[in-house]
Amino acid sequence: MGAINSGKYRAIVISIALFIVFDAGVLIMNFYIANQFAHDAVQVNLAGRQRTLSQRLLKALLQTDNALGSGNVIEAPLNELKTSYHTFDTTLTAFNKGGSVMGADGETVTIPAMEDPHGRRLLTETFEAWLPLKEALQPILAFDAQIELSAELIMTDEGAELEGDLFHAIMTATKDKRNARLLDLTNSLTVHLEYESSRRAMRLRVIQVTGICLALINFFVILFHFIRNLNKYDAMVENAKKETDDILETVNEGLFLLDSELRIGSQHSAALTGIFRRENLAGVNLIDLLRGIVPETTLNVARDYISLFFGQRVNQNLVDDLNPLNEVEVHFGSEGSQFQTRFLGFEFRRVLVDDELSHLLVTVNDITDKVALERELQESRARSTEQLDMLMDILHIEPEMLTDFLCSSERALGKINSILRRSARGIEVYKAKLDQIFREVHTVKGEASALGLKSVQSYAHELEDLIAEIQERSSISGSDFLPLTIKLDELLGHIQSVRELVARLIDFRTAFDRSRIAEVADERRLAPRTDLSALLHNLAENVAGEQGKRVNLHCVGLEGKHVPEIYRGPIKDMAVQFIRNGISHGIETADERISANKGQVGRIAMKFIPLNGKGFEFSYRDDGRGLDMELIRKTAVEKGFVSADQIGTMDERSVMALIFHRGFSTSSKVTTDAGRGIGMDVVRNLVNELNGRVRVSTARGEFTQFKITLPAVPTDLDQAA
Amino acid sequence: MKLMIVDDSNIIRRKIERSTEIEGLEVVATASNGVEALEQFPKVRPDIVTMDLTMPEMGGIECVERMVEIDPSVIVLVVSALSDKATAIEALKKGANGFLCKPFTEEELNRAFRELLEEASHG
Repeated sequence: MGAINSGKYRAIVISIALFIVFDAGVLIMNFYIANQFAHDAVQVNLAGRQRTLSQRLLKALLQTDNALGSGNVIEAPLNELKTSYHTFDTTLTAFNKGGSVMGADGETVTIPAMEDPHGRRLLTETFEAWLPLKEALQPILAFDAQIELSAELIMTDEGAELEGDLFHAIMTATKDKRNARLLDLTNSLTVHLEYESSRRAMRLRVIQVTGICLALINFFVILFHFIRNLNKYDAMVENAKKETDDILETVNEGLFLLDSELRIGSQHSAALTGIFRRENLAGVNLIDLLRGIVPETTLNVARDYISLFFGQRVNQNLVDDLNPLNEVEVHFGSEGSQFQTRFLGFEFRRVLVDDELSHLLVTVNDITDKVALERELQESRARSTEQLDMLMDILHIEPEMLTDFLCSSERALGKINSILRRSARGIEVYKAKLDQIFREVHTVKGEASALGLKSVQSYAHELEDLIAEIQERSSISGSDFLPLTIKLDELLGHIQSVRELVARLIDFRTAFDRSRIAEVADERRLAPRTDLSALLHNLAENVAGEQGKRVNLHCVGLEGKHVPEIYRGPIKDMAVQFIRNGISHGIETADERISANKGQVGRIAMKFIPLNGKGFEFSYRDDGRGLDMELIRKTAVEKGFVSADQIGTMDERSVMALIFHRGFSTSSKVTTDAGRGIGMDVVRNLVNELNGRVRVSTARGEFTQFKITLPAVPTDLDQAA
Repeated sequence: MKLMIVDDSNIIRRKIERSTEIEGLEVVATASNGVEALEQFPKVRPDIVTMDLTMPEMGGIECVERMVEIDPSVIVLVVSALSDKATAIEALKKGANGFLCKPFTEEELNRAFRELLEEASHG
C-alpha cells in the first residue's frame, strides 16, 4: 500500500517542491535586489551630492577670495570650503575603495567600492581631475580661519600667502575647465549609477515575471495532471463498480458483507432478495431477518457462532462443522399465502483489510433440492440395507421353515383382520379384542425371533408397543384401532416382501436344482420336512447373544417326525416362549453363574417323549436361578391380580400358577424377548386348547422345570394331519 | 512444540498420541479430566491442548477458560462429538481456537494441528 501511494503521489510531491523552489527563488531575488535598490538610491544620492559639492567648492573658493580681497570676514566661506572639500573627498574615496560616509540626512552610510568597469573608469577620471585641485587646496585648508578682520588679514603675511594660495587654487580649478570637467564627471557618475539601478530594476522585473510564469506553468501542469489522473481513477472506479455490479447481478448465491453489528452491507447479490423473499436488505440485521423463519434456539446459537469470527482466537477453517446455519430449515409464509419450507446453507468468511478484520463475507444458498436428494438417498440406502439384512436373514433359514412361518404369520394376520372386523362396543370388548390381537402378534414375533428374522420381529414389536399403549388408555373407541390397521398393514407388507424375496430365491434354487443329479433329489425327498430343534437352537443362540449370556440347549425328541403333525405348531410356539422366558429370567449372566459355583454356560433341556401310548410329555428345564416366589407374590399384588390378604393364604403351587396370568411379568422393562407378561399366557392357552396339563417345579438358585402332558392323538387324526 | 491431551477416554487419548505426525510436536502430558489437566498445565506449559468437552470432575468449557486465563497464548483444539453444537461454540467463546469432530481420522487431526500452528506462526 505504501509503495502504491508513493508512486501515486510522487507527481504531486515534485510539483509542490517545484512551486516552493520557484516562489522561494523569486522571494530571495526580490529581497536581494530590493537591498541593492536601497544601496543604489544612497549611491545615486551621494553621486548627485558630489555634483553639487564640486560647484559649491568652487563657489566657496571664490567667495573666500572675494571676502579676503574686500576685507570681509572669511570664516564662513572658508568653513564652507572646508566642509565641501571634506565631504567631496571622503565620498569620492568611499566610491573608490568602499567605506562609511555622512549621508544627506546626517546619518552615516556605508557604501561598497564601485566594481563595474564603466564606473571605475569614471572614478579614475574624476580622481585625475580632482587630485591637482585637492593638492592646490591643501594650504588653504591648513589656514587657521580664526581671524576676525579680513581688512587686517590681507595686510599680514599669512593673508598675502592665503591670497596666493586662493589664486592658485582658483586657477587650478578653472584651468582646462577642470571644474566643468569635475561637474561632468560627477554628473556622469550619477547618471551611471541611475542607469545601473534601473538595470537592476529591470532584472528584478524579469526575474519576478519568470518566477510567476514558472509558478503558473507549474500550477497548470499540476492541474492538468490531477484532472487527467482523476478522470483515469474515476474511469477505473466506474469500471470496477460495473464489474462488481455485473457479478452481483449474475451470481446465483446470496452474497453480502456483514459488519460486527451483524448488519447486511449496502451491496449484495441480486439473488439474495430471491432467497429471502424480500427487498431492501441493506442495513438489515441478519438475526432480525432470520427471526420468525428460523427457531429462536437456532438463532441464539447462530449469533454466538458468528460472533466467534469477530474475535481474535478462532481459526475460521476449523469451525465449519459447528455452523448452525449450514443446513437450516426456514419457513416462509405470509397471510393468505401457502407456508413454504426451504433449506438454506450459510457460509461465513473473514474479510481482512491491512490484516485487520473489517467484515464477514457471507454466502447463502437455497439448498432445498440438495437436502431433499440427500434424504431420498438416505431412505433408499436404509431400504436397501433393510432388504439386504432380510436377505441375509432368509439365507440362513431352511426354506420349508420359512414357508411355514410365512403361512402361519399370514394366517395370524388374517385372524387379526377378522377380529378387527367383528363388530364390538364397550371398553371391555375392545380390550378383549386387543388381547386377542396382541396374542397373535406376539406369536408372530416369537416365530420371527426364532428364525432370526430381525426386521419382522421389530415390526411386530412396534405393533405390540402400539397395542399396549392403546390398552392403557382410560377410554377406547373404534377410531383408536385406525393406527393399528396401518401398522398391521405395514407388517403384512413386510411379510409379503419376505415372501417375494423367498419366491425369487426358490426360483433361483429350482433352476439350480434342475441341473443336479437325481440322487440328490431323492435324498432331499427323504430328508425330514422340518427340524424343530434346529429352529430352537437358532432362537436360543439369538436370545442369549442379545442378552450377553451363554446357553447350551439340549433337545430330545423334537427332531421332525417324532412330534405328531397336529402338535408341531403348538409345541413350537410353547418351546419358543419357554426359551425366551428361560433365557431372559432364568439363566444368569456368566459372572453370576461363576459366583453361584455354576458353569459359565447355562443349560436348557427340552424333551418331547411319548408316554407308552398314553399321550406325550413335553418338558422344559433350565439350571438358572429358579422362580423367585417372593418377587412373584410382590408383583402379583402390585399388578392387582390378587390382594395382599389373599397372597398370604396362597400355597406355593397357587403362587407359581400366577406366572400364567395374562400381563404377569417380573421384568421392569420391555424388550423384544420378555417383559410384556404374555409368554406364559400363550403357553397356558395352548395347553388348554390341547386339553393338556402343565406342572411347574422350581428350586431357588438351582432350576425351573415345566412339564406338559398332552393326550394321545387319535390315529386317524394324526394320519389326516 | 508441546502437546497436552485432555480426554476422559483412554482410547481417544491413545489415538491422538499415535496419530500426531507434526514434526516437532511432542506429547508432554495427558489428562482424563479438567481437574487433572489444570494441575499439570502450569507445570508443563503446553503450546497446544486437545480438549474433550464432557468429562467427569471438571468439563472442557471451564477448563478452557482457566487455561486461557493462565496462558493467553495457549492454542486449544476442542475434540468432541457434534451432538451439541452450542456447547462447543461456548468453549470457543471461552477462548478455544478450533473444533475437531469425533470421530476423526489421522488426516483430519493433523490438518487441524497444521491449521492452528500456521495461524499461530503468522501471529
